[in-house]
Amino acid sequence: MPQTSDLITRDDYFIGRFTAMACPCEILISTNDKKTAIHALEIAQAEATRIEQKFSRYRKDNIIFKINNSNGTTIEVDEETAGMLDFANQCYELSDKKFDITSGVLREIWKFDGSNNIPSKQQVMDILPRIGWNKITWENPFITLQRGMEIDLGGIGKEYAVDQTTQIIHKTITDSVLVNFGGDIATLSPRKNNTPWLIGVDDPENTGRNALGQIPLLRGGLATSGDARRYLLKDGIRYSHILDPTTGWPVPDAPRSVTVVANTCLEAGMLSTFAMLEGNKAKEFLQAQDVQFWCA
Amino acid sequence: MKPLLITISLLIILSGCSLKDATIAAFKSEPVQPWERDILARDDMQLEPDPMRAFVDDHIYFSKEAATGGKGVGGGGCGCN
Amino acid sequence: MKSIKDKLSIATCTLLTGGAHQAQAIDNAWDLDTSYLYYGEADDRVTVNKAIANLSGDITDNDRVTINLVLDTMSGATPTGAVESETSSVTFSSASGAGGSTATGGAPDIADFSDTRLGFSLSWEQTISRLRKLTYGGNLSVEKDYHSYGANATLNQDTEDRGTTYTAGLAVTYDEIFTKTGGTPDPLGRVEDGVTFGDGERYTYNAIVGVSKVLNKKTVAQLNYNITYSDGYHTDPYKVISEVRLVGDSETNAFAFAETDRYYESRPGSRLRHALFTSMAHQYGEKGEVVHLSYRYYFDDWDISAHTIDLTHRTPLGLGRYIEPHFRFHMQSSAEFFMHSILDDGSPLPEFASADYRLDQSTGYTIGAEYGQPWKGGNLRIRLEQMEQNFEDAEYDENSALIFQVSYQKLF
Repeated sequence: MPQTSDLITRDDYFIGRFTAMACPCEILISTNDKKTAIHALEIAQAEATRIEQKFSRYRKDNIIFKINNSNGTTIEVDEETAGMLDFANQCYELSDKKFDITSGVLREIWKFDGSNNIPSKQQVMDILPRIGWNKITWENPFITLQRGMEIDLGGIGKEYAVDQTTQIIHKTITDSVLVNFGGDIATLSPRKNNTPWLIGVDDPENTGRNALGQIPLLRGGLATSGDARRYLLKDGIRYSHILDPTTGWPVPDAPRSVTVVANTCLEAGMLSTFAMLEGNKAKEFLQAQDVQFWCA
Repeated sequence: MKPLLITISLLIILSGCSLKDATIAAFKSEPVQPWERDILARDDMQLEPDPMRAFVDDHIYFSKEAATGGKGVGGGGCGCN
Repeated sequence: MKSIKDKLSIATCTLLTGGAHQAQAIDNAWDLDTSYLYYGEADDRVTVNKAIANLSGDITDNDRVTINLVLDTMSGATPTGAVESETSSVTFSSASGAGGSTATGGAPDIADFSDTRLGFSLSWEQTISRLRKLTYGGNLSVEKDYHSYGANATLNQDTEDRGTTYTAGLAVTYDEIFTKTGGTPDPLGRVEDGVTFGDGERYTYNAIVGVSKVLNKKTVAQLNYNITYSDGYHTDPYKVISEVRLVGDSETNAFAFAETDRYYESRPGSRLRHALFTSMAHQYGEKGEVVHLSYRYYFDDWDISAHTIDLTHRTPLGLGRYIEPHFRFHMQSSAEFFMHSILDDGSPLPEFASADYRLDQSTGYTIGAEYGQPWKGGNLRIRLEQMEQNFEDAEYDENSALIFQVSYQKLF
């Protein structure tokens, strides 16, 4: 598979770009040394590609495929995957069973293409027995799925990749680096002269055009949940793509987009996802978490 | 000693043949990045994968053979040799 | 609404600091490994039952301690070095000749013994910096006829890319050797005279330098050089050597050794040993098979040289289970003062002489397998092996033993 990347020079930093995990990926390196910038870009691309290949549910050669095609047998997983599953388990409990990595099968009936194709109640009822992390036997490092169930680490993977990449780059490069994979962002240190990185937040009504505001980020992670382009519209009701795994239906009155700043990208990502799952209580939830957030 | 030396070289070659792919791949030296160390970090890839077995073997062969040492320093002495 | 941020922070931190592996190291501060060994030689020779407990844990972020306890119970009979006694004309005092025990009328070329050994060691591993570790240790071992005290220190230094680790270590051991009846026998003194001296003492200095290197994603290899100098009492106070005359009938061509006298053995007062050790671990194949291969070349100033090969091959069977066949081969030349017996031809006694079969030229191999699987939240290992040894000139020219070991490790 050919992998391409670009390196652009700015006044006092470089921008490296490539595509991975089906989104534009970007890293900003606060240095004047081109070799350092190239090195950081190579590390970022390698790590993003590695995590994509390892955890993508679209591949047939990885651990996710093996688990999803285990037909009820027990699978032993490696330590990294085990770490992800432990984390998914904790998120399931912390979100009161709303964040569920087994809910991916709902995509078989819900296709968010802006159309009015709403599944029937019967279709939803039929698929619910195949959902529920509590139906899975997870005893690190062994996982057993019931037949017909699937797991999807997509809700964790990108944010995880951002933090992992940031940490790996930081092991060999002392200059500040900002990692941005499709809007999920992290940095471990401020730029030169202790100036923050500035991050623009999208207006969900005007995707990609107007920035709602600029967020200064010295260190930490930022993530956005919600996608203005992914919804269904029927009888004047807008169905968001955030699905409640306990009902099989979209979460009513979910915000269009939630952006959170936290210690790490993964933490920000989970808080914004949990907020979406709270529906009209999203703001209340985020206020209780004592974090910086934008809810639209 | 000579015929025995030949036996040893033969043993090495034989074990090499039955695991031919492993032998060729094994000695190729190439840099390994920190995120490529998942295999090397496994318990069974440690140079001493079962410390209990090594500990016991060291004691058995120390008390039944004249040669000893090579793995490290320390460990208890005993009157068995 | 309740705040979940702190719990989420801990969960993300656990995942991001290296996944399950490191999370385990944080959550499970203590690692307990226990083991039981049965070692039994054929023909009711030596039987050893060994119990081991090894506890290690992080006491701070940078300090790890390991405590090791060993209890051995040994019994049976072992060759003394004397020739088979049918033609012996020597009356043999059972109290002094037996291997530290009660000889119960068995043939004196084989001595019954029983003993218990308690071993204790403590080590402290200190992380000096990201790439440097220092380990100090102390150990002691007590038997009815042997005391051993040791101290050691080892430095490990990683290169910046963590691809290579250099090791340097030093150890000093002080041993006290005596018989159960007290003191040590007069070297090459007649057993019949029963002259004894005080306890034997020995100092041993051991140094190692080594390098281990990551060769590629699936291979790691190691090379060590180990030098050991010991000064003091090296003789085995229970071993004897026969003085013999050849008797027989030239017509029937049947000859035998007739023992005319018996002496305690005598070994030199120092020994300088060298060992060059190399080992590697390599993973290959679909299932993740792992091969471990090691080779040691050993030589010392007693004229002994030895080659030892050890090979294991682990095949995962799924669900954490594995089977691991093991093969070990050892061959050694004899010590320059090793002899079957002393010929009674009127010439003076040699300065050093030993008929201990372990100092004889020999070849030996061990073959067996280990099986492992997860059990009750830990790891269970069981192995069964057979050891065979053949000796060139010793009175008892073979030894075979069964090795059975069960180990269980768990993190707390």
